[in-house]
Parts: sequence; structure tokens; C-alpha cells
Amino acid sequence: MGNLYIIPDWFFGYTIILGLIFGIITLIVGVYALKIYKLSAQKASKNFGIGFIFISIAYFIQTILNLVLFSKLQIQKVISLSTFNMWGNIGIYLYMLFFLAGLITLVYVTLGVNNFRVYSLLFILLMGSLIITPFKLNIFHIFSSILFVYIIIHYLINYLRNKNYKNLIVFIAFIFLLLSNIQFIFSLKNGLYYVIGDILSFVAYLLILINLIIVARKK
Amino acid sequence: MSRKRDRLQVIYDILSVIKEKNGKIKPTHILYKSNLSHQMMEEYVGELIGGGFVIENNTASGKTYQLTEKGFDYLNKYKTITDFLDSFGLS
Repeated sequence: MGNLYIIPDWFFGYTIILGLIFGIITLIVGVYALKIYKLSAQKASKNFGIGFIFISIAYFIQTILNLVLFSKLQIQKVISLSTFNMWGNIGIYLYMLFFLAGLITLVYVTLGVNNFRVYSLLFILLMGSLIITPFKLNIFHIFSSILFVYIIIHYLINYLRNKNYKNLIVFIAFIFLLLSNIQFIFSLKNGLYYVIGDILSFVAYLLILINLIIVARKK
Repeated sequence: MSRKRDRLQVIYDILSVIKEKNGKIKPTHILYKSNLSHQMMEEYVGELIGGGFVIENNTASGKTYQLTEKGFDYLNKYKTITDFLDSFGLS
């Protein structure tokens, strides 16, 4: 497998809009988590918020990158790292870096380990591997999938411990995020998987937003 | 119920006790009303002072604790806080 995303021609505009929506939703969740931290002084909430803000930054970078590509490469639908100019390379590396940083932070929170060395170890191992591999996008999605699996295990335990619809919504949302991430791996060969991946991500973030609204509206 | 949830509940109980006493209370009342050991109460109250939920006043009649705006906020939004932490698996 090479380092290629194949995005169908007709979907390019939609993926820009969806990326922007994902960025906004994850930013809202991140900021709300920090607000809860301010109210409760719960460190887990602060780290959770930071994790979501990292992911949000990744989506905004991706959106800007796609917008630039959309305007510059209107005809070319296959986006390759090797064909990127310097600006494009930096953009996609920053996207991968922030997205992985967000997921590492979320996994760190869900592991419940209050030790910065564990966090830095995860960070260095994953980022280091990503930097030295020639198959960056593949490795990025494989690492992301592994991290999502750990997050899902946490939310499964959380749901089994306290079976209510809000815990179920979050659990299902992260399953959708894992499935979308797997679709993105296949999208390196077929553009249809990219579309499915984006739709699954949309459902996932919508579920997370719905849960947040339910929680925030309660007095 | 998880440990952290218990912790949040204890904080809620202590702040509620202070609120019941019109926002000001003596340490002995907290000890009596919150059903904690002296050591635990000291720990929690220290944490609440550090977190800006409570302020300590030293008067001629002894030490009292007073709720801050952040303390009142915590009580008002306790349900939202616990709902958020629970549903996102942070408790």
C-alpha cells in the first residue's frame, strides 16, 4: 500500500464541509470538558478536553489543507504525499500529529493512570514510529485504530458498569469512529471507502454532540 | 458507584452543609454533618480551599469556612458535572 487517499470527485466539497463540522463538534466537546474541569477540578476532565481540542485542531488543519488542494488541484483527485509541496506535507503531518496526540491523550485518560511518563512513552513510541515509517498514512490509521480499540474497551466497561442510554451513545459513537478509521485504511485503494468513512465519522460525532446536549441541558 | 463519584459526592455533601448554614460554618459542624473522619475532613477541606471552592476565615470565635462563588457553582451544576463525567467515562 502506498501513501494515497482516493477521494471521489463529487465528494471533495462534502469532505471539506464534514471536516469543518467535525472540527467544530470536537472543539465544543473539548471546551465543555475544560468548563467542567473549571467547575469540578477533575483532572480527567481537563485531559479529556485537551484530547478533544487536539483532535479539533487536526480537523481544522485537514479542512484548510483540503481547501487549498481543492482550489489548487481541481482536476487531480488522487492526493499523494510525494506529490505534495512543502506546505502540503507540513499540513498532513500536522494533521496526523494532532489527531494521534488527541487519541493518545484520550487513551491516557481512559487508562486512569496519573503518570506523565506513561503519557510521554506512548507519545514518543507512536510519534517516533510514524516519523520513521515510509507508509505514514497506513501506520497512522493502524495506530489510530489500536487507540480507538482501547478507548472502546473503556466505554464498554463504563456502559456495563452503568447501563444507561448516555453511556451507550458514547460507546456506540466510538465504535463508529473505529469503523470509520478502518474505512480510511481501505480508502487508500478505493475512494468509496473514504465516503463511507466520512459518513461513519459524521454519525459518531453527531452522537457525541447529542450526548453533550442531553447532559448540558439538564439542570 | 465508582471511587471518584464518591469523591464528588463527598465534596457535594460538604459544600451543601456549608450552604445550609448560610454559606458559613465551623469545622466541627462539617465534621458532624458530613460523616467523615477528622483526617478525611481536613483533607477534603484543604482540597476545597486549594480549588477555590471554600475560603477559610480566622475570627476571634474560631475558624469558619465560607462558600465561594465557585463553591455555589459546583452545587448548582453538580448534576451536569456528574452526568458529563459519567457519560464520558471520566468518573
